[in-house]
Amino acid sequence: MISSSDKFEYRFTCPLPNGLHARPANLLEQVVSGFGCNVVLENLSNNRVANAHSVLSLVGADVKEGDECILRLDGPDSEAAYKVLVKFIINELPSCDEKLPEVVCAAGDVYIPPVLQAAQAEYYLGTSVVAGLARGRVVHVQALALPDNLSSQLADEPQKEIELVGQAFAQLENEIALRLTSPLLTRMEKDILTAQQAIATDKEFRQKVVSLIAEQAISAGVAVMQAYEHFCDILRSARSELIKERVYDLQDISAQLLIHLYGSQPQAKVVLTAPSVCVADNITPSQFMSLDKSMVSAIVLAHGSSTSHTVILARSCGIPTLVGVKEACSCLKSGQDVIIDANNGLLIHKVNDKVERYFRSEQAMRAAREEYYSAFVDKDAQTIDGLPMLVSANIARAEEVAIAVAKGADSIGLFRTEMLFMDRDKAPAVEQQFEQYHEAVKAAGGRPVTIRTFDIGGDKNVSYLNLASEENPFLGYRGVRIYQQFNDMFRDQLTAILRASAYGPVKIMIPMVTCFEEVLWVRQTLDQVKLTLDNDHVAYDRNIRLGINVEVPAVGFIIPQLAGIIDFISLGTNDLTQYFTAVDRGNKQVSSLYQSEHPGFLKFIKYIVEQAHKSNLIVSMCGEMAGQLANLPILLGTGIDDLSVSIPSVLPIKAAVSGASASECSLLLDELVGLKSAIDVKERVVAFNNRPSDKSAVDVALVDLKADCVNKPEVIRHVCNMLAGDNRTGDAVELEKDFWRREAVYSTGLGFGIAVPHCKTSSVNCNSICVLKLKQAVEWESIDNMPVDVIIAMTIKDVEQAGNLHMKIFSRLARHIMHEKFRESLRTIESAQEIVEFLHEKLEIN
Amino acid sequence: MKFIAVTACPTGIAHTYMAAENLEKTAKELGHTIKVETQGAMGIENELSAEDISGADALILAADIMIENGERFDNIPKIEVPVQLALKDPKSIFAKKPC
Repeated sequence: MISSSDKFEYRFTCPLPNGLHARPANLLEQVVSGFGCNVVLENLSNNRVANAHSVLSLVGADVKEGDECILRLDGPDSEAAYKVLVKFIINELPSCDEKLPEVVCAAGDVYIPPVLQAAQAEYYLGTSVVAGLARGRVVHVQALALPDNLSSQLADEPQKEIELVGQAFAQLENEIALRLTSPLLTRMEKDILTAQQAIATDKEFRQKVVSLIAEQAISAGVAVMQAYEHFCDILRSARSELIKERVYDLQDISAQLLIHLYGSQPQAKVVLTAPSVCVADNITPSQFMSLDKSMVSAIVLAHGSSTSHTVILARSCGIPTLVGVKEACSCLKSGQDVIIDANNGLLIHKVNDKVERYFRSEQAMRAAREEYYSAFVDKDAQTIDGLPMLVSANIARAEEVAIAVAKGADSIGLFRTEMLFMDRDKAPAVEQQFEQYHEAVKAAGGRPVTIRTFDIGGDKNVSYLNLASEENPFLGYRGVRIYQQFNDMFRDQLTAILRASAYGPVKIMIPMVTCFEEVLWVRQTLDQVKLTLDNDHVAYDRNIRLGINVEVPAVGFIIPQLAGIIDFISLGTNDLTQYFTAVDRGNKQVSSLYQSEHPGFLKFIKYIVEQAHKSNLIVSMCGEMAGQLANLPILLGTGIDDLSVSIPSVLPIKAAVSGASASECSLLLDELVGLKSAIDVKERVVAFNNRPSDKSAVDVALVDLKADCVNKPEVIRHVCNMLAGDNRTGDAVELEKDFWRREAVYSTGLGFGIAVPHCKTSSVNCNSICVLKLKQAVEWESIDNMPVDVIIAMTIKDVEQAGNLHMKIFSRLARHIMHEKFRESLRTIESAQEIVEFLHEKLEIN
Repeated sequence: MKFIAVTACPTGIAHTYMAAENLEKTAKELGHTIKVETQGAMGIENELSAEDISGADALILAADIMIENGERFDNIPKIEVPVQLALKDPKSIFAKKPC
């Protein structure tokens, strides 16, 4: 620190993996905005200087990870500002950013499925940023272009122009503020609107516009355009893509300003009337938000990258998206029928019969997968040896309940209520909260809803509570620890929850419990609130269940003592792991030690579940660990009663539970807790998950006696899809590649109209034999040059050891195929069941 | 004639065994005796012993990959063919002159 009376300097190295882009810059600007002093940030790596009162200016400093920077403070309150800023940079800045979303499939790294190659599909390549397959008519979305006819306008009365632009800024600000209050906004839309708000209210941007008018006597519109160009130049020259992309937000804001200034839309609103593939050079976030999403099949951009705001929005809506498709704007005609294969980064612009077949079969596959999962929507999950497992959903808003139920959730295992308390001036009233809880309970249709009382403090702060900032917020004043101080707020929440309990089963869960007295106090408070409701003759569930979130390790050791005053516990594994391993997982230097698979941690959760069950308490888990398919055997091994996971994980977890054996998992866990380290645990679990399944190699699901394939690539794809459909492979694409690697050596066409495609692969979980009879013979480069109409496909799991008896069936099969009688029998049998029986007999499968 | 043979193909799943079966079948038809060792995904099966080798007139080596323990056959006349020939035209293999 260098200081003289009211001048301060602070030097730091940028800790952000993605640099100082819009979101962290926004946070920094918010801290600075609390003070009147000048705050300047200088990036020593490129000598750019930024006004820290402006997000645009900060972003324009192009600060990357590792850049040395100096903050210079100058002015009356700079000492106070200095203290707060330093604290912010040390404590909060490093953990305020998230990992960037990943690209599904980058251009240049393309796999053109052999079926599409054979179909002679004509396509353009792009980078897939949201996976999926879609079809629709091309609709060109005009870029939100700024008008170019403003260039010559001089202003007669600059002062009037300044007033006009001031009004336009105010209108835009109000408009964004208004849009932000919409209850229909998703979290993602809200974040992005907030980022746009930061630009619309940016001091430097506004100052630039005003000073351009004053100095050059130009019209407000021209000034907006020039200010836009000025900041674009700065942003475009940034090294970080993330920063360059903010040009589109700036363009968005500038165009909206012009609308407010001149009242005309720069371009007509896009109205979609049929499933559409929206094509543009770039679509701004506000354009995206105005599109009718039910009509958007896919998005194709000539520019843009995986981190642009529009792409983030498309991802949150699950709309397949390709970026970097150079030909998109120039080569596609409006109304043209196109297929977007965003699993492989392809835009197929000419749809012929074979491409059409590919599209249909892929869609059928997806439909089959959905149908397979849908069987679990109304079914209780149970392991093959009869252990029932509830699979519930974690939500944060009442609207999500209906979705969770539709996606198979048995109950709501965690309704986080913090969001109701955030982004407001004061705590929500009982009535407001009741509406939310009531809506959730109604939508749950008799399924229990576990409402966790507000977990505020730590990283989730609420301005109106005026909680002091702490050295160590995660070990500080948060969760139940603040309830006595904010007793009224807590009672209001309990009142709202109790009232909702009159309409369906509700449970109350208390966060961040450390000791018995806290729970006792909550229990007594709950009883008092009940009494008040009794006196007011308000209905509620008298037997409402009370439980705790186990996040603090200490409480995990007093479960039997708590049993008399609680009904259930729920393991919050994110915080529990953090406290158990003493690791802040946002801190890159130690995050590798954040290990939910640590043998000690596994022993701990095993112990907690045992203790809880001895005390007749229900145990659930609501942390991230619960939704990780790879870790499911561990959790099944503990005998836990309920897994509460994010909505999209519900059905996959239910399906996986139904295929697992609780007793095997229990033995596995006994073994895991004795291992040395998390690495060993992960390895062992991977081996367990990949263990050969005991499915028979032959099954009616693997026989298709009327296969509709017109060429060799379609046959191989069909075989892979059959194996995927019977859950024998989790990666049909890799499996397909393995088949083709073998075909590349020499064709597996044997003559006699038979082909035996095969591979040894890590992409299957069991050895399999598929039998197909084709409706029409296809070319296979056979040794007798004749087409084939019988396919016997063999896949062997690559971990199989030589000499394994399971494999004997393959050599038997291979030898049988050499005999005409065997081949004739295969050809004459007319039902899948008989094929299976025939192979069982011939291959001596028991 | 008295033949011995070794079959081996790239993945060792199908062609190794199909070739073995075809060689055995064809030898029988042609009135030869044959013992075929397979080197496939199952490892070495029906392994040729030193006596098998010393008592044979020729070795048919139907392999697309380097076989294991090839040095056993240093001193025996060989007919070397691609595996596929054992499927396509096995009779022609027996008509070849060992060298």
